[in-house]
Amino acid sequence: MSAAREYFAAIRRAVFSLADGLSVTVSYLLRRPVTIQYPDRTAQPVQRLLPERSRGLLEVDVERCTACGLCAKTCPIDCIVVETGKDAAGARLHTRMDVDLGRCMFCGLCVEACPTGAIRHSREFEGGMARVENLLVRFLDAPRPPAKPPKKGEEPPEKPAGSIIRSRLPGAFAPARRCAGGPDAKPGGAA
Amino acid sequence: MSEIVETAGREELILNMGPHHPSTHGVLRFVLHTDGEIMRLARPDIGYLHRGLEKLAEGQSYPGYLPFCDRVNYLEGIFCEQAYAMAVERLLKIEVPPRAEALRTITAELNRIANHHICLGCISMDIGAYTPFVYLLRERERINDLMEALCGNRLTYHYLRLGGVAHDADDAWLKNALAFVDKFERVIPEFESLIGKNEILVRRLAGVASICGADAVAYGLVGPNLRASGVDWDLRRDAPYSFYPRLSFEVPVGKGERGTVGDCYDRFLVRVEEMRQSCRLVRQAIEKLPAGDIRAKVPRVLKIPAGETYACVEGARGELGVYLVSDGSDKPYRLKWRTGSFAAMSIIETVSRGLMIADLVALIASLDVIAPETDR
Amino acid sequence: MNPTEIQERLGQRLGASLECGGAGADAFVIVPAERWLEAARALREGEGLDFDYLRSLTAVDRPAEGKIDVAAHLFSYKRRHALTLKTRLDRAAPRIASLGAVWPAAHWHERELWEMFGVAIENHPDLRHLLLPEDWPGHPLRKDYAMPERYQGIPTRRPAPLAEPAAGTGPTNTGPKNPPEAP
Repeated sequence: MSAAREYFAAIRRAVFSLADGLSVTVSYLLRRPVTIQYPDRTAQPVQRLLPERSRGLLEVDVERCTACGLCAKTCPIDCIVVETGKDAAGARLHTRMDVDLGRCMFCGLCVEACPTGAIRHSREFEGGMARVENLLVRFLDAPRPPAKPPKKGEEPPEKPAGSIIRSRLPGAFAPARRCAGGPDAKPGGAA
Repeated sequence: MSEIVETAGREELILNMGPHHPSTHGVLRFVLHTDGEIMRLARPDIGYLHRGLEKLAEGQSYPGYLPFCDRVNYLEGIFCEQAYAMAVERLLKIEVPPRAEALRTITAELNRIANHHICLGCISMDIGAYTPFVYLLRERERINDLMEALCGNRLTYHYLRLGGVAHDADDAWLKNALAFVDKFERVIPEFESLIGKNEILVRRLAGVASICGADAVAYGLVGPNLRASGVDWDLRRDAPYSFYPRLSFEVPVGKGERGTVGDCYDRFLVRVEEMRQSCRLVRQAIEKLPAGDIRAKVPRVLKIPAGETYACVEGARGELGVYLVSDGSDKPYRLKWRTGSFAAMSIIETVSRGLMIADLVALIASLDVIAPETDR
Repeated sequence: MNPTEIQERLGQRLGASLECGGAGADAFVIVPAERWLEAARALREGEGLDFDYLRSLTAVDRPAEGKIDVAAHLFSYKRRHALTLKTRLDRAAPRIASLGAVWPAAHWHERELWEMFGVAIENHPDLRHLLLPEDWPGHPLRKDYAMPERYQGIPTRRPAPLAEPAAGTGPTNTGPKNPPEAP
């Protein structure tokens, strides 16, 4: 007798607990959805929605870089190479500034080490490539004298975040997305 | 791949579950010896995600190893960082400023909630209820956003530094965190009525794969798995560290609510309750947040006096320990991770005897084993 | 019980004076390798000791001294005290008794110890590779370990594009279109 009672009690519990759960699900039919239709339909480019500190792809402003090499020394996985040489007159030349973004683990130690703010995280993250070697970014086109450490108040103007990496990784960020913000809302400074 | 071994008139089917199986949580293989639906033995085969994180430490500088800690377990990055940072700080004998300790606690508890979202979601998903998983992921997304705003990354936070934390939290962030906690405390009852009290879920979990307290201790189970087995132990309360001595909270223990003590449903309930307590902890820590520095002075080139220590924190999967041996140079001489999943994985072979195949899935999910943590 | 008392009591039970060190939670005691299992039993069952929880079991390779130090981190939920039990093994032929009969948790730790340091475990019921493939050569956590360049014909290292020197002066080709993508 008690087995039968327990059997029907279990059915009762099942029906009520299911109805309880379904009432939660049904209530969501009436609420505003929380998902966004990335990447096809976003109110703004997603890069702009990210917080200030967001650690995206690294970029180097060679005009600020003093070629001190602290970033390369701090990097735990050696994904940065900085090289210097001498020109004909014996002056110091910055000859190489390469970052292998395929290896980078986005820890931000290089950014903390950089004394002039030349290396920094952009908020770009969509650097998808068909070949991993293509994520090796060479930031220096030709050898140039390294920048002097700026005096207080005389720092060169900062380039807009993401503009450098966008020009260095062409194709990775194209095509421009259909954003609700209109043509002006096209992401960053893409060429 | 399967083979049939015939022994004394009975057939034993040897069946591979994994390495790619939706309920193995990472790449992980089980070799099942089954007799019909009943399992004679389930043998975990791990190592697919072995990255040699202990060996890597021997080639890294002390601050340079911190980002690797996040990779020990991608679901509880803050705890891994904290265990490692505590080990180094103990050898260096440096005091962490109270504000940094409080921020570590706030982020750690948020991290714990995010981790339990995945765990509880996976339990329900693995036994066939997909919707709760998605609901919990939605809540977890809010934590990820909070963490990204504070730490700069959503999963591999790299927020702690030796002697403190990387960034200070401003008032706006603290307000957002409080708002999240307030909102989330209302979501927990919703989750409970959505799935937690669901009779089908209860039937699938209650009384299944019970682990008694003595076994749990002998096999080194820790954290929620240990507490579900009725052992009342929590490092945050019983061996307090960081900011926890100044906070009050309760430690949920498994009572065998619908089945036996230490069954899958207890492990489920303990985690739900832990999320509530974590909300309390976050709120208290924000209210008591001291002013001051967020980083102690630490030399740039860090040499650590020779010695060794074992530091542990109460992670989302329980005791997460780092055994650190220093030889006085600027690199760790030896570093060993003691993780909760490793112990939990080692008990599966014993507990699985006589279970149904479908219950193995519930067992794995309720132990909250994560392959990167066992393999390191 | 404080660490000194634990160390004394263990010494009494083993009837030997033991090398001790460390303070607080990091207190340790070194026992001879042949008394490893006996010491573990004493700590597990000894009056007032009750170490019921094996936190971790691991080793440290010290080639300069020709030794491998094995360390077991123990804790007692009942008495709330901790101790590290250590022993020193000969690096050329390290052998140690299994603690699986005392703490079942030791089984997996010992499998790891065996494959990572090459420490032979006596009386282990199921000594198989844990993390590495069965045919992996060497013991990776030994200090003199050199990673093989290839494993079953598969290179073990990723190509390192950074190792190549910069492509001289002039604009350097980067990006997905240049050099052309492989089909």
